[in-house]
Amino acid sequence: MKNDVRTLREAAGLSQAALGAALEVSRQTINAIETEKYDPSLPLALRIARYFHTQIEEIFHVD
Amino acid sequence: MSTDTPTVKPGPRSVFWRVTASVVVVAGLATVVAHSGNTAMAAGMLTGGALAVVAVLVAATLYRRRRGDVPTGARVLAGPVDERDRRLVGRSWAITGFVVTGGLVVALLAKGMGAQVQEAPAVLLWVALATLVTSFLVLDRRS
Repeated sequence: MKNDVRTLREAAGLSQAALGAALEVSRQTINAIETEKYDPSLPLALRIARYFHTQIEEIFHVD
Repeated sequence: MSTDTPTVKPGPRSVFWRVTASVVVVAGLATVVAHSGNTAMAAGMLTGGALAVVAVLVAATLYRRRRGDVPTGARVLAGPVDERDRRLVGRSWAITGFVVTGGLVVALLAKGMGAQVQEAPAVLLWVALATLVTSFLVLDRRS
């Protein structure tokens, strides 16, 4: 699933490890999400959206 | 729905279950080998298996404490794991189950045709272990 996690993370000036620590997941999980190799669970997607103060549909795109 | 539940679940309890599972696997392998009559090999498997389990756990724990960026395998062995790690482990077990089931069918067919398959259970267990590790490594690289 396409997503804007990398864009949002870089705009926030965060490393993958820092974002992973904030969301309580590993750096590898953040990397896998950003490279679209792994689709996060709904709770994790919600946490990502809340962390960036936006909505899930603003970050994750089906197309 | 609450999203406050931590995805990462560290703690001694998860380590305890990993150690328990490892001991059960090693003891199971040794029991099968001993049952086939090779008690010396079973004793060696128990000794070597126990040492390997302890060594891997200690190495994984030390690695986790010293490095910020922990490999997936080290997290799975020593914790803490996150949802992607759990999914990788689940898929690895699924592949292992598929392979072992296929091997079991082949062994049963061979036995039905009159072949000697006394070593088949031990071979299947080793195949299961190799499949579990290999599939985990491959899935970790691809996802």
